[in-house]
Amino acid sequence: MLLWLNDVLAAAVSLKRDISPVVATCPLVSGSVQNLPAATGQYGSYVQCMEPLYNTASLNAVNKAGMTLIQRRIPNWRTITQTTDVTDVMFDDRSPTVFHVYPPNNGSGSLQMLVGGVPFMSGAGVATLNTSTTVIPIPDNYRQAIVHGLISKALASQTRRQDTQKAQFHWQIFEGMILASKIAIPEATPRLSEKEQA
Amino acid sequence: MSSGTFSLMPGPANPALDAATYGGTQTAGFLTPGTTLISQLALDVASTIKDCPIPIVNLAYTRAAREFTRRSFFLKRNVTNAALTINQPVYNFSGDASLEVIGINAAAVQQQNATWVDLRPADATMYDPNMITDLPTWYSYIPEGMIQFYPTPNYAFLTNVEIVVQTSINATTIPNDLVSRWNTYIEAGALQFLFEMNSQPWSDPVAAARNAELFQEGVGMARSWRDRGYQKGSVRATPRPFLAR
Repeated sequence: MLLWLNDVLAAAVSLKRDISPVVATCPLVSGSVQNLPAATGQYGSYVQCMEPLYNTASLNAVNKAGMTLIQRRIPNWRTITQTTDVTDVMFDDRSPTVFHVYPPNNGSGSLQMLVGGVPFMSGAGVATLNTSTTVIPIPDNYRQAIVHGLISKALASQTRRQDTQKAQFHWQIFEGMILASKIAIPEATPRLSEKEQA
Repeated sequence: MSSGTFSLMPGPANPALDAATYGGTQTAGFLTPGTTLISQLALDVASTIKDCPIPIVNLAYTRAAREFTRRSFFLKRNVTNAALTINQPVYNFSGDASLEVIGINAAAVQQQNATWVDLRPADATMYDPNMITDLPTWYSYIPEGMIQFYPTPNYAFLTNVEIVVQTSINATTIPNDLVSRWNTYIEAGALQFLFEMNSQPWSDPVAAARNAELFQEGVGMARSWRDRGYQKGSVRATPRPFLAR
């Protein structure tokens, strides 16, 4: 059942990467190209950069930016003086766990960043399965969807009660409920002119 | 109405943009204003163009400040008590990390009897190359960033030169005597540049035009202010160049 739950939670994140947002500490290495760190706590992994928040030590804000302008205006930006604090973070969905920082970091910086995580209810060793009181780090509005996912997993398992048709039916409901719900964290809306808004 | 905390103090001014950042230094009667980081000055622009990368916002502000100083000839600096070199007519002004020389406002030379006389500006192409060396009475601006004295000096005369400068394109700081009065207009210049960018989420030709007008207004006011010798009220049409000494 816990393994099914893990599978369902991972499937939910796969359908919607921001379903389980978490503020993660992201230590920075020397240079401009950075990777999301290994997940901790109830998360198996972090799979999506969502919103940079601030520099951990200085608390200075960080801006989420596009890379095109910087690439064109400051073509040598990856070789400029490295600093501890960064001002801009750039990433896109094609490489959701890789992000770029401006100015390049000197290796001593760290960011607080909102990331999408994959909840993981049991550890690899499954030493203690005392999870009946563990809070699933997914908002309650997804509860019904997860129930359908679990039912689907149960019906799909090779038991006397296996019913692939019903399993598929519940899986479709699971997918539909996940996808139909609003995103957990709204993306920053680009500034639009009145004409465009109209 | 509050009278503030002003009083009449002897000596050159030390005006404050704000108490923490103006921080000018005074040497021999001249005030060298402090500077403010462009990254601090550009915060209002960054909050208006919120999707733009911060370095691009900073560069837009730097560009606007450079454009403002280039068009208005507002920003001046003094080169004081600089000794001439015998038989050397042309001089440069060395370099500065964040300012570039684009003109000369006035120059003066100290005669050997220790009195100072103003030099008159002239077209360098009119100088007689066969003129014997002597006490300079004329000067010319030689583009870019140089000055020629005429006649060529025959002694290490001391000179004072008031140069017109613009902020450089890679500056990271802006002099406070520029931003204390013109920051709003420089911001408008930066906004104009950013709004004019094509195919960006913040692209807005109407806002760009509005800010362009504001920027031009600022340039005109600065130019006018400079042409009146930085004085309020009636002045002569062709005032004697002011050179603090």
